[in-house]
Amino acid sequence: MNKKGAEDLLMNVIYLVIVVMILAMFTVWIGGLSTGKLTKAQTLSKEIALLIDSAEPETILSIAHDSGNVSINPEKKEITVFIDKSEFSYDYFSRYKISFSNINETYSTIKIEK
Amino acid sequence: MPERMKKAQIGGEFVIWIYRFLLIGAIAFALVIIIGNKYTEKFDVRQMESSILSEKIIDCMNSRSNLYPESLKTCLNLNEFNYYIIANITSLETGFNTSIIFGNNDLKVQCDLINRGTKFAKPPLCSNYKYLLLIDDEKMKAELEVDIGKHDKNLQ
Repeated sequence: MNKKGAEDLLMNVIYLVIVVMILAMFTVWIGGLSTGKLTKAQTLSKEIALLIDSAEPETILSIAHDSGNVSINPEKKEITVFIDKSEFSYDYFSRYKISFSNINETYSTIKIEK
Repeated sequence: MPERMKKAQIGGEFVIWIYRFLLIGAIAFALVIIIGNKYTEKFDVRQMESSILSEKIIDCMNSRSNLYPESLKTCLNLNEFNYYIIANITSLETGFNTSIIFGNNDLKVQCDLINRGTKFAKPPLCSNYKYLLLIDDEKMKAELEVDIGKHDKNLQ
């Protein structure tokens, strides 16, 4: 192989490596998207808000979350969920007293009292 | 091959490689934008919220003494910026009739415009409900309009 052929081969190999890397990144990214990873925080915060809104007094809600962090601000009436670097807050309107306790990293309880 | 021609050939090849990389970059960028927008779009839960809120309004109207804006406001304790509520209560036995209205009037204006055919990029949710109630042993009909804003959290 002459020098020109070697250069062409090297450039083609670099090009192919870049294309394969981009395809691999896409596969991983779309894999994450299809499992709802990016919208997990939004889903969980809205679900919790609707559960709190519809709950009657003396209800205890048990919430399992994937190593994320759930917090409640009773003054702002807002739930914040932080999972995998994504954060989402949603507000509830329930008029009852809401108390939140983190049992462990993946399990929390919310108590609704009059 | 003369030196000048050789340089020109190398320059031409370089331009072609730049073009190929730019092309693949543009395709990747377009895919990220299109797929990302589709999969990360916010979903609208206001219809469920409105339904729950309408039931809470009915729960609050449990006696004739609570059929006033202030008592309903106190009972619901809402952030009025995000909501607009109209409750028309009519007795089916006596001539009693009352309307309770409170909340963010901008939402009502937008809902009226939507009903007349105006399109909004981020519209509020406008819902109507009808309930039959028994308040202090009196049969009543309640017509509710519940309008919810919260555009930023529910719409893309």
